[in-house]
Amino acid sequence: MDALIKEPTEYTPKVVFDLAKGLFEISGDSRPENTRKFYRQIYEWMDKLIESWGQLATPSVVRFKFAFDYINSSSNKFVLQLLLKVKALEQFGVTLMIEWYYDEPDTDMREIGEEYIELTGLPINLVSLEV
Amino acid sequence: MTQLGETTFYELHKGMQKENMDFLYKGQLNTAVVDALLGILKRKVQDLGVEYILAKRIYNIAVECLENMCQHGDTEVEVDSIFLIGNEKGTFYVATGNLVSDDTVGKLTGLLGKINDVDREGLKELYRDRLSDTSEGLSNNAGMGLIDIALKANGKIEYRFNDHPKGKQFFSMQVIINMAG
Repeated sequence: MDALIKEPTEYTPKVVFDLAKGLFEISGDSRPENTRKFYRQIYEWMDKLIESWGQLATPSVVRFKFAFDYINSSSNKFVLQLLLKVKALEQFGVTLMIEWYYDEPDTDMREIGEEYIELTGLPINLVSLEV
Repeated sequence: MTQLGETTFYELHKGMQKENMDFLYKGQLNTAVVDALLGILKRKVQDLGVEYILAKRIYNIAVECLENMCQHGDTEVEVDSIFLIGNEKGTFYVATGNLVSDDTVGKLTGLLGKINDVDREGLKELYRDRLSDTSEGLSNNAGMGLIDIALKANGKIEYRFNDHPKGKQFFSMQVIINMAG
């Protein structure tokens, strides 16, 4: 399955979803002009991954890394849905390791991570970075 | 065109300094302008010499305010919008003003009334409800921006509507960023 790579811009995050390399990372700022359009491509990739999981050489542990510097309120909603798609991988007996990075003083970004834990029930590990 | 007065512009500049206006924009707002303004603001908030989380909240509120103005603003009539970040003895505020249609007045009044009516826990609940509500598609994030502004400011949203000669309403809004608690 082809990797999904999106280079970052000033207002969209970098996305690297690469099954062969075991890399699932999204990082940077998220306040796209058209949030739906931006996340739709990631959703489609995830849907394809879920559909074809049984036919692919897949790992038993999958690590997702979310490292946003900034996320606006409309992206917030789309990231929640993305996490629910990640959660769907649990049906294949996959162990998910999800990391939510935030700058240590950024308590607001930490709170967003906590909110996602509550809303998805996923074992998201909150990782603080020194600034 | 009138001649440049001896002190006019200097007085305006002094007034802005006195009022601690850190960032002021008056003009048309569209996504290209918002992107440009936020590009400048991202660096500007880092130069304010304030703690990390305050700088981040000012930027955060600025993003949501400007995006809201683009979304709710009435662009049919060309009336400049205004956006201001200032501080009073280190307490920062963000203020906006833009023309809105009569339909929008009703929506904003209802939403802002609801936001100002609840405490912080109530606000979090409102936000969470909208975050997980997919009933009308993901793009329906009605009010999330304003709720987020109130949450980040940790206070009420002051607002007012004034009749505008162009037949619409001029919507003014201000939040003071409360870092205590």
